[in-house]
Amino acid sequence: MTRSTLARELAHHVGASHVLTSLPDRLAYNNDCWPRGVILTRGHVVRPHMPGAIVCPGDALEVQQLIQWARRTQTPLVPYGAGSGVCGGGVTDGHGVILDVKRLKALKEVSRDDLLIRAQSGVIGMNLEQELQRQGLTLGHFPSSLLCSSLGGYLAARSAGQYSSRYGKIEDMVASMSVVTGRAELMETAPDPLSSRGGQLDCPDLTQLFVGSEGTLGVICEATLNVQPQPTKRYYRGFQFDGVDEALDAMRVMMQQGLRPAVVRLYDAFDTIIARRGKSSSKQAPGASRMDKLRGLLPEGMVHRVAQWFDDYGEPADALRGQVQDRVEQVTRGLMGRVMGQPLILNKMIDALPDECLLIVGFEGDGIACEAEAEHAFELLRHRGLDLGQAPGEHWLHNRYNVSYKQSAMYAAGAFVDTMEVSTTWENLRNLYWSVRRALSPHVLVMAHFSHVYPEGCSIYFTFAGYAPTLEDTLERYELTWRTGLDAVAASGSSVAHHHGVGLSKAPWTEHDHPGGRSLFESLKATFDPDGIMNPGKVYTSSRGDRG
Amino acid sequence: MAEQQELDSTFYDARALPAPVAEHWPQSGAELGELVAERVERDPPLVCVGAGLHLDPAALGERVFEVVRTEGCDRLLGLDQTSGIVRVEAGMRWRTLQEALAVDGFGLTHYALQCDEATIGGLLSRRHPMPRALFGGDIREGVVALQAMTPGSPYRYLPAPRKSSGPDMRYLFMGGQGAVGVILDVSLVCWPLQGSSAWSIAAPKLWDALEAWRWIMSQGIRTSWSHWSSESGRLMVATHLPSIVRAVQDREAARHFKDRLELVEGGQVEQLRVGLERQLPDRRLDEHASMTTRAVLGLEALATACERLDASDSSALVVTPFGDHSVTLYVRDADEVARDKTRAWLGHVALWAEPILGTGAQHWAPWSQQLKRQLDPHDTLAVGP
Repeated sequence: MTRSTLARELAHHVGASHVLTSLPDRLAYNNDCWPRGVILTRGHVVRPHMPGAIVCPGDALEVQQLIQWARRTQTPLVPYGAGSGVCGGGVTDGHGVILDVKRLKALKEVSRDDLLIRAQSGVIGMNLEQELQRQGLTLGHFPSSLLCSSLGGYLAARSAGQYSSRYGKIEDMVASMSVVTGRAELMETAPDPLSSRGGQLDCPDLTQLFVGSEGTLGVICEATLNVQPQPTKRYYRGFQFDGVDEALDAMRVMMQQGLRPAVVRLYDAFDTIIARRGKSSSKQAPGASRMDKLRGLLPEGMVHRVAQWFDDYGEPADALRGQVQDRVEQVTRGLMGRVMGQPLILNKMIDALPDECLLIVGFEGDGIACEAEAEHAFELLRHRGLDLGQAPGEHWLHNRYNVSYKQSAMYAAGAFVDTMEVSTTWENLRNLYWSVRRALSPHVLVMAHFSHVYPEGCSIYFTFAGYAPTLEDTLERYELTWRTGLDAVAASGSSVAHHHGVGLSKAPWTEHDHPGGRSLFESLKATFDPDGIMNPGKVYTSSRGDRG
Repeated sequence: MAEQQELDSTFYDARALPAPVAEHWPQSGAELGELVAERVERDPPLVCVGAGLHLDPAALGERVFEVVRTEGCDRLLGLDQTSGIVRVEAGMRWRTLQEALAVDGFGLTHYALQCDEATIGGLLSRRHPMPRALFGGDIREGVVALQAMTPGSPYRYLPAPRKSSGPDMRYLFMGGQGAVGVILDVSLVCWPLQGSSAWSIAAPKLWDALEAWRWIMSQGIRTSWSHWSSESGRLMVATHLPSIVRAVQDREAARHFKDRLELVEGGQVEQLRVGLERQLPDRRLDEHASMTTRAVLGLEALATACERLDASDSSALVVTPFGDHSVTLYVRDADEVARDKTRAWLGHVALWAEPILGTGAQHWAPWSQQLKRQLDPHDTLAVGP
């Protein structure tokens, strides 16, 4: 099908102004926030995931029509919210059509009495939260991508926000969803508590099967969600522990006593240094990202010194300025290569650092329970660690959205950076942490924090950065890092994905989390997407029915 | 496998269940899995029965079937005391598990009240969902690992607090009624036993109970379980938290409810739970089961319904649990006329409502039928369209 024919056929369903086929538009949708996609893009390799077109339906009926069209023409469709996913769940195979739901952005209903809302899937998280807070409510879902992620993305990827231990994860919040399946059938996954009365209880529970399906079964159009009154009390604090083990044990005891903090974040030794350096350094802008702080540690900080020289002594001729900057960039990359090219040495140096680690704990809520729980928790932590007061907690609270999506500085310096979120039980947590560190250390610089705590376990969020001189070498190191890292996770008996989803990035390891699950997934696909057009190749490596 | 016992039809008669043509008695989860895996196409389909308290015969349709009695699959497979996770076979009874855990200083304290005789597998596979509650409530919230067998193959959800690796396949089995697979064993979150408090709040009417519950919610107090009945006229709620936190909450509750509140502490809280779980109307064996309707209502719908419910002389009411957004209500009517009126009316105000003793055909959505054909093409399992 030619591009003009494609555009014409799509426009028949949604109108020409809601079909994008220009090269800049297709480039913009060439990647979500998947770091591998960023590496490719910076290496000027954009073909593998460039969509044939982008189509923006305005309602569920148009979504149905588009899926019917896709079935007729055997065209893969990739549902797309805000494109903030980091696992490649929102990229095409170079042929498919992106189905962007951002026109479905309404907050349709708010029931204060039942603490329920109904919202469309394309609404951006921050916009939704701001409107709810204006009405004295909160969804309680605060991923670090809140400003640039969508409700549909949360549901499709099975996301968790930073306050998950207080408000739950997205699957705890959703009551029902309106979805258009890959058969182009519009259905409710469960009786909608806002409107349904005397409904049928189908089995199994479709809501929990569609949450996390990453667009492989259909398109989420709307959802009814539980909300909470906006909290009126907040208590945030920081604590220093002599080591990660001591801190983890304190966290475990706190959760198993039945307390429910809003936030619990433990930074390992290196991540603690990064976090503190950023706070204390006057040269860093308030709320500078962890990646900016990391960059500042490296000799390529001379880039900033050169810029400062220009500012102090006036602008030289443009040509000279350009030559100097080019040279600085060359030197920077060379230094980056020397520094980041020896990750094993760096990681061993990190392991030799003092073990002190920083724990951020926060409680929020209403009434008497919040303060009582906070006081007890803080007292428990004081017996095991050093109370640093409110400042670290307050600092985290005010800068928590300044961390993500500032990785461009690292990429500009020729490095790559990515994150790996995994989870396991308390009994296995230390084993998981050291298994992954050992696996990654030869390849990339590694740091980690522990968050999303449960009475039975915890998530670990590894951040890693690496470097290679060429695109091919970079991809090789990047993929080797992921292979060895996730193999280590699997070997330790832990889960390979806690809240980022699977996408393309982790699809080869999904089977580990669900031994015997592929055949079940195939059955779900056969039921809801018999033609295999819905986001093929995601969640599991290409299944039999996928088109792509 | 235990020797074939003579089929006791009184077990099924007492539960208003159709009798099978044969029974099987596996002695372990592994044997249960083998039973399912080794069925051949010509064999009658199987249905797992634990205590038989919640199986809906309408889900069996008109099939001739065989029963797999899971009482023998009741071993405690392991207790991870550091993580607070217990692994049990699906035939373990709810009360038996609580007693076994107590020996090691653990409990299922944060879960909502469940029928004491129900099996873990039965509680998980039944269709009736409870209001969701973080780190407690419905026992489905506490499942961190699961092993199941479909007619085609085994499935395992490996232990983790949470995964975002695709559709949550546990829900093909949890809430699935055994239509596409049977649960062999699960790992459940359990908690170190600690001090507890319970409040017995005078609430003669449902409206009073709802008002009391709204105050509890407004204070951010999280309860482990909650129960109100028109017969007792009291709202009972329990909390399991450190003593300092409970003391603050107890003090504030006493100030608010004044002489309406009786405080229960220590071992008496557990005794309360035992007694209430023994009497839950949510079971086919209950002597009033044929007159009882179970419904889920939003809090606002419940407030609207209170006047009619409180005014009815012929109905006995039980609400358990109360949630942040909805409640589960049981209405027991005195006669069939009143019962049928209640069911008709609840159908207009409740999110959903169903009789304890199901009648009529169960509705199977087209997708449900398709999924059944995919996962059980030879009708190995008796539940389903």
